Amino acid sequence: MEDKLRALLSKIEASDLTDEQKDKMLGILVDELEALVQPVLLKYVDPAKLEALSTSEQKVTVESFINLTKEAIGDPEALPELSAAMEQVLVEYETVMKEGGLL
Amino acid sequence: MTENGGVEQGISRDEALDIAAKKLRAKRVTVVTKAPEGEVVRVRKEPGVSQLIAAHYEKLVSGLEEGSKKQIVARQMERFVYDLAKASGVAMGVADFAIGGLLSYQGAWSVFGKTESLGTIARTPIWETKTWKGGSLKLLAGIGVWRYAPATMVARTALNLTL
Repeated sequence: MEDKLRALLSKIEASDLTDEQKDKMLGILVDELEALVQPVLLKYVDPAKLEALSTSEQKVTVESFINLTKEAIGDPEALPELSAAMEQVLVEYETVMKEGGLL
Repeated sequence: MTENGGVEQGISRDEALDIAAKKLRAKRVTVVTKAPEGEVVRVRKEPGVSQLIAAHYEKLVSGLEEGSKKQIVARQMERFVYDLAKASGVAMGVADFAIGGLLSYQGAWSVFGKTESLGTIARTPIWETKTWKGGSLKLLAGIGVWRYAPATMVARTALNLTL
């Protein structure tokens, strides 16, 4: 993932976009990557605990959130899957940017 | 290609960037599940949250100092819970309550900042790396750490959210 990201950033940096436009491109990239984390981790959350949490507002706390997340990332498949999903986002990002004539 | 680089007639690069951002947002994944064959399946995000939970969320964060990092973290964490519940199809039994931007991710992971090592919370939020002048390496550092943001968050827990 890092290699792909590095290559993509090199392309952006080497483009003839203005600094402001490059900044915007980076912002879009960061937003897309950030938006990926929660959906990927969701599948590693215990459904029963999630349902219990959602049906009792008193239980919805920062601590309960953290516990959910801790359990999710405790699965050895979580981070590799996250990495793979991020790679896919990078590919889509580059494709869309090329379609727009930006890369 | 226009003189400003857009591939569509009459489109400037700034406009092309906006279009690209919209296209990417439309492609966003909300739930990634594995089909029996192991194929990745995509499910799109639903733009609504439970009114009940939303009310609780407001109550929870109302006591925190406005604009404080702790408030930001609390809000983002709560939003995560909404997303999880909603995306997993858990019925909340209450009419959806649209909160502008609630589900548009603001960078929850950013607030956890950059770590020098697991368990060490640095003070530089990743959002600062969005500034191009900081260079791509800074972004890479942010992304690289962000990849391990869940671990960072656990470290944050250990620190009792001492932001």
